[in-house]
Amino acid sequence: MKLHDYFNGTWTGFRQPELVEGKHFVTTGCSHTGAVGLDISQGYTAILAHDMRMPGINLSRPGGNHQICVYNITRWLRYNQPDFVIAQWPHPVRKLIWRNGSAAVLNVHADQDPLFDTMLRYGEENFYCEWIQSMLTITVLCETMKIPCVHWTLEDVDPAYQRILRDNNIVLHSNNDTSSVWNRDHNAKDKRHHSAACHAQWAQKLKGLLNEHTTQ
Amino acid sequence: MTALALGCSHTFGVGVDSSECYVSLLEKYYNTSIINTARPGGNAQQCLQQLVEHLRVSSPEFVIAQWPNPFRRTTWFGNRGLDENIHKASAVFNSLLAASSKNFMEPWLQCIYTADTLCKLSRTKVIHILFEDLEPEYTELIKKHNVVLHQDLKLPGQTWLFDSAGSDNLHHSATCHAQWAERLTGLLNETT
Repeated sequence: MKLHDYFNGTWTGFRQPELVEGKHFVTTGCSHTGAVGLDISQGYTAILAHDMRMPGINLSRPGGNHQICVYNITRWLRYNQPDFVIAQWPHPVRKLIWRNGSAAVLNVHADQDPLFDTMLRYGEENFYCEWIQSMLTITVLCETMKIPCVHWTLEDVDPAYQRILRDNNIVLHSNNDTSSVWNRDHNAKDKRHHSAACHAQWAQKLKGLLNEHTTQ
Repeated sequence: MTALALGCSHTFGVGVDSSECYVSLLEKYYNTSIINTARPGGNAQQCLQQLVEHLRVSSPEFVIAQWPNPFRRTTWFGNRGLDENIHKASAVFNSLLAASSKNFMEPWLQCIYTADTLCKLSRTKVIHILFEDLEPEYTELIKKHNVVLHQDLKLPGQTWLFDSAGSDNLHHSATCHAQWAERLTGLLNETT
């Protein structure tokens, strides 16, 4: 079975023109990793691929959530051995909801949706617990395969959840550490996502984190 | 060496003496200790969580994954998580069900797929079992993902014996557990 065939035509589509086998790395995430608002060559995955001289497989899904990240990474790791994994975790408060046979990821702007709203009203734990669980799952998958994995997010993470992550020996690089931020602006073409300069900074920072990871 | 059992009340052994539970019978047969992580009323997400946590720190000889009914989930009320099912359901549970059964089936399938991949990559033998009936479309989907799920096909050698003769008149008798252990032994020996 060709990899192209295997991944095409699923609801977990992603922005990736061509899939390759052999030495490579994978990234996952939402629109940020999908480089929405930029040419795909300006995205951090493409920059890393260029700098590290190996193909970067971008398994991100704009608007996606943690479940989609886990699904795509799991499917990839089941059949491939990348050199490393970069997991950009989307905003935790997103939920994949099925209605009438099709799926949509609802987010905090979906407050008109009574189901999403009720879930949020019951407690943010309805989102955060699964989000953390997904991170743990990918961590263990990568540990099992001895593949370095860098977890990062552009979101702020409440200290209580950071503590849970630390207790589980998961290092999530968020913007909470003011000495080492992920640059953000709204200078992509859509005026919502981030500029090529931000992606370049993310790529630099990720390279540093990968070096730390592989030299530990 | 140890092994791991995941599941709900069936694997926990509700309704039978702990020595009669199929997990204990397998322990005796294989002369190995099996960590029984099953939780009565538990759901697939919790089974996956148990597997992830155990694989991180140990290398079980094999894993028995008895997947609970798909229509179960944990709903959080603040920091209190409640295990829900169709008989004990919050507004969120009912709304998810009303929207589509896929809100339960898809995450359930994903748990099985992820667990299978984790076991495959860690070279851990896993037997997936299901006591519930499953719609053909999902059986096909599982097959398509190269996961072997042993269901109740109601065929000789491919059935799980059921009654409601556990001490609570809801769960299954020691006879059922003995048959499950026998079938599982066969499946485990097949995969060796």
